[in-house]
Amino acid sequence: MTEKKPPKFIRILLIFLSSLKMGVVTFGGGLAMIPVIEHEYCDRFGWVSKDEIGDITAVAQSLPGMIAVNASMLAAYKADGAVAAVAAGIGCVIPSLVILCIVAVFYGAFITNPYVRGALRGISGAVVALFIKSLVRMLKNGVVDVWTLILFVAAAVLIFVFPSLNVIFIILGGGVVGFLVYYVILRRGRGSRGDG
Amino acid sequence: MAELLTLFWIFCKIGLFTIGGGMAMLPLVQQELVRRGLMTMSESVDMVAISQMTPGPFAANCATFVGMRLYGVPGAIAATAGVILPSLIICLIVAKIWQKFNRSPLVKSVLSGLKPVVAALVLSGLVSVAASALFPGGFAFSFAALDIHVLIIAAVLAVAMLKTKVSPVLLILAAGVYGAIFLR
Repeated sequence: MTEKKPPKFIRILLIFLSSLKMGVVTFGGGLAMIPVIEHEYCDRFGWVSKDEIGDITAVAQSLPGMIAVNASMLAAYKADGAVAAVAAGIGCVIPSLVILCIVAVFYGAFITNPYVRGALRGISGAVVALFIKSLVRMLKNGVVDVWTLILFVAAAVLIFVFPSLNVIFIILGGGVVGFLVYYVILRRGRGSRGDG
Repeated sequence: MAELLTLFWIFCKIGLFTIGGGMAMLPLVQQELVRRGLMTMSESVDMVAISQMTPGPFAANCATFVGMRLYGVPGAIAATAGVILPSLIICLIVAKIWQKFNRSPLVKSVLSGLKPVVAALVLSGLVSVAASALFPGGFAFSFAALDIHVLIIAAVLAVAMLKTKVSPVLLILAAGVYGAIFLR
């Protein structure tokens, strides 16, 4: 690296500002933000490599929380450590905070308007379509063998048959079963490191 | 103040247990907010619609919208802070142990178990959204109760989203324009 980096507080300010920008320009959340993060951190700043963006994308999707926040934070951490990461995480939700506050006020005022009601009725169909798309993506990505198929069916049955069961327990249960199946039971099949 | 703390805590939980993107959080939002009477089912569908159409992360948009509707700007800040706090903490830890985390078979095994469960959550979200959108007067096994316009929009847009690369935001806007003109 022959290129000189600007001083640390300037770098953090740049990261914060670019996160604000990402929060304003990315529609569709999560994965839509990855190309923008790549553009900012790789092409514009040159502080993170393209390979690292690939890893960051994978990890950001598997961590709890928002994919966009996770990815921005991980990229910013790679670029400049913990303070930059926090600045990036907060930066990319501030636009949401401002925009949605305004929208929520208008929602209250306009929800009785027949045009708005009609628009929302049309959009409710689009929301159904969004869920279908999301479900198809998740099934392709998550249900890959007989174990994951069983888990999917079992979780769906639990959710629908016992609607009062806390969703959090079902999520935790999935993690535990994944650990038992893939780490404990199937580990030997993948060539264990001689611990048995 | 107590309400704000409750809201903050609810969204902390939502932030912590939303994995793999915003759509999976709807069952949690419903469990935490609709059942406590803080929100109606149809408002939760509106929340999804509005949060998708506005820029920024979906869950942050939902949190701000819900917080603002309930308790104004302090509510919006409490909910949004709550929803990102788990991300902030977890990302800092993961970034620190990056190499270990990235290659850990333990982490991979847990994730393999989480993914199908998250898919089931999205299915549950789909069912509740579809029931509310397609049967606005309450669910019934009759064509009279079915909103056929919404059904057609949902079917056409689902095909468009799955088979084409047209931006979902454009499709949502088109559905809104269609609705404003024809579904008043």
